[in-house]
Amino acid sequence: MILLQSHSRFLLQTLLNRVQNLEKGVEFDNHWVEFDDVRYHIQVSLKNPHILLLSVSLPTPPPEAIFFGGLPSGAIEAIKAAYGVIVQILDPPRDGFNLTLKLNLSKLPPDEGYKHALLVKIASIRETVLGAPLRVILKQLAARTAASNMDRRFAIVHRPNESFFLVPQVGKMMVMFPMRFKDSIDIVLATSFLQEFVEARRTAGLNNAPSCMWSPSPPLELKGAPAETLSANAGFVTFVIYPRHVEGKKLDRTVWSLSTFHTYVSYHVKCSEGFMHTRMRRRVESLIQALDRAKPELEKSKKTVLSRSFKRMSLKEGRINSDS
Amino acid sequence: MAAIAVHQFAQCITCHAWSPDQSMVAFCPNNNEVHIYRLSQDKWEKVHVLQKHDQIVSGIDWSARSNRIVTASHDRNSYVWNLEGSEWVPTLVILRLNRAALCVQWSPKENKFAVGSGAKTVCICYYEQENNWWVSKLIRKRHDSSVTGVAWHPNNILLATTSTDGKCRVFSTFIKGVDTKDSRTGPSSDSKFGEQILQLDLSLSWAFGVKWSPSGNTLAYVGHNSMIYFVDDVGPSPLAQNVAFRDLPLRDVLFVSERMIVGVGFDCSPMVFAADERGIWSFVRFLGERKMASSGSKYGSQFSEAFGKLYGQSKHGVSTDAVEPSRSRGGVHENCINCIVPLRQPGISTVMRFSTSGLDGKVVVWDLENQADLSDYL
Amino acid sequence: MANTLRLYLTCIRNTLEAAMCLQNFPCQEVERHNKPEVELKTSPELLLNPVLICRNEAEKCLIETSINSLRISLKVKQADELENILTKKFLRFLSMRAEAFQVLRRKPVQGYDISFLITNYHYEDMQKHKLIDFIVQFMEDIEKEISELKMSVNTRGRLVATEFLKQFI
Repeated sequence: MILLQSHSRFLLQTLLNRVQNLEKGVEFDNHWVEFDDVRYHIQVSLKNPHILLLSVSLPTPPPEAIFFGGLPSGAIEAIKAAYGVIVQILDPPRDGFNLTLKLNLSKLPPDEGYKHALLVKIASIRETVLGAPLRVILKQLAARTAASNMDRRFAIVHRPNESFFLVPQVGKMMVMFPMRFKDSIDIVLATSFLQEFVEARRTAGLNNAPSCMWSPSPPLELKGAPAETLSANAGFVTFVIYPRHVEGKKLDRTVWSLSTFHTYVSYHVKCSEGFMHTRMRRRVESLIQALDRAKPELEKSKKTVLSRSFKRMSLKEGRINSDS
Repeated sequence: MAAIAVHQFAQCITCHAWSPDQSMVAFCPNNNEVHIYRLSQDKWEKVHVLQKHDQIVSGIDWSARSNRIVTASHDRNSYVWNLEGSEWVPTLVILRLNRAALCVQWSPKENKFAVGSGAKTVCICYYEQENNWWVSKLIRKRHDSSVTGVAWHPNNILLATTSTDGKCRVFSTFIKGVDTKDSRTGPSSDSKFGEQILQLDLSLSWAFGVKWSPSGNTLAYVGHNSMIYFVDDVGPSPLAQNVAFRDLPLRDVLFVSERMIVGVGFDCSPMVFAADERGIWSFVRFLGERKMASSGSKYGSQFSEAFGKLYGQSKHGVSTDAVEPSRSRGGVHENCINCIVPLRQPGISTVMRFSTSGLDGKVVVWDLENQADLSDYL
Repeated sequence: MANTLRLYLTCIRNTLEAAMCLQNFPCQEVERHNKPEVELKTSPELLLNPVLICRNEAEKCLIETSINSLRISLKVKQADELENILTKKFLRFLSMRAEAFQVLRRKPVQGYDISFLITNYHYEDMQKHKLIDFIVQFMEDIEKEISELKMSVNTRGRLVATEFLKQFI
């Protein structure tokens, strides 16, 4: 998996499972956490098997990203638009969560394809909720009606106490990510990854992709932002989004890609470290073998093995080869 | 071929010594024991294990006439072992050392022995009849570091030492009641016990392996800077020669005759040095074909090379490309030789046979017969 | 470049060949002890002059010899932050497995990235030339491993970036 999927795999599976066995009554109470501290809670009661309560908790927003009623701006509208009649927003939400939805599974459309698409959309609840403000702004860009927003700065939460920034300009949108990592190795690897974004954008095939910049210091557009938002140990990445990147169907994907950009980089940094460990373990083994070759006893035991049976020797040889 | 017998007795041998009739060999297998093997019907079998020390045994000497074994160990003690019936009975020698004993040698008359120590001292031990024990007299002064080697002059009085301060020294060990006046000759004629006759400051590094020539006229020792030193006219105005060689340093030497010496050490093959008619010493050659193409001793390493290839050394092709891997030296010994012992024929001062042992756990017997180019020096 | 590495390693190999002449030698200072003199450094006369072999300013090898032990310390090239972190990571990985390496010193000598301690006991147990082969192979492997790791990070970075940017087209 190179790209992150927008739906929660576990949530989708649970929903599909429920829908297929709608008549069977089950008691169900599950709680789990996904990346960037998004927590889910799902509850089904024996009494009403077609009713499912889904609660979501979002990462704590930093001061510059404002939530309205515990949700990002435009979230309620986005939920209503996306799910229609099968979803009812409960107010107040479940204790400890930002949002609780009551799903009425009996109201799902009968058409299998459409039903599945809707369930995937429900499983992508985080995209719908967290991506709502970004979607609104990018829609204005697509409609080229953003004149009133010009050069304002929008902060959008994407990780606990961290946000990224949007600065609309004439005919384009600057999207800026302060990149922070905890571990010193993560910082170095991420920095080299981010520079690869800049390099990759220059290749012929990606001419139409958003242009991409990386700098160790905050870009000019962030001048005046609170100091704590301007400290980033892996530098700042800026994407320039044009209307062509948010036209029609592309909007959804762009919203998702941008709101999970940090996670995407961090996920691949961790993969890279895992890969390095595997390599190093292998290298250590080959070095230990090199040291063992210096011990004469080993050589002698090999010699006796040879003189006794070829079969055992070939086994041993095979083992050593596969180790390497 | 110079090596006539190779015995793999242990994994590592610190030192070895032969019984007077050369039918038995005693060695320390790099631990606190001394093993004695006897040759019976072409096979070596273990006949005794001497267990008394509790640290590694660093020196063994087996007296030729009295058939006594003396051992020295890092545990600071020495034992004299007497064969009573079929048992070796130990007698503890109170060396009065507070550091490890490093080397030991019987004097030519076998009434004394000398122990070099890590306490920067030398012990001269002699037997006191009336008390029935071995007494140790210390030469305390002079040495600035551990004493690595001791060698008795044929006159039973002079003792040469080497130490890790790089010096070679000669002392008088005259002990009243043990040595008689008439045995005093030459430079030691009127010296007291422990008096330093000579200090040689030739080596820039640690000195090892001191030996006297059969007549006692020449003294030889080695330095860790790949040098061997020859000293004539030991006394107030000695004559010294320094011979440098290209190879790794030596650990011990053996006078084969007045004009020829065999050195052993880190290069794993014995080296022959000889003096020409004018008495100038130089390196002659290695003993034991060192870079020969095919012979029994090479067999082992050829074999291991083939094994290396079989067992995945080929996958390090890149590394072999970059730098040639070192090769084993292809001699009889595969690791440093640290001990060389003569196998004397009674009544003949020239040593035709000797044995070497080292960290590879082998005892190798060498014969100088049929070495045409060396016969001039014998 | 490869050529200077070869010269560097050959020089180290030859120096080790000469330096690795060790023997069992008990402690002069403490009764019944036998410790690597190169670590104790209590008897200056038992130490030889250290040899420093430099390939350039950033890469060097210090060989310290005593009568019964030998210390080899390596400083590995770290051209940039990424190489620095990769080297650190790799060497820490190795140090944690010092047990299996026997000759690896748990902590590098100050100013170096990694150190080996070879005592007379290793010298007795192992074949000298293969021990030297090991050290040289180790140095080659580190060099290779770091540059390969670096390349793999860059390659992955490029792939990750390309896939991400493709989504917008």
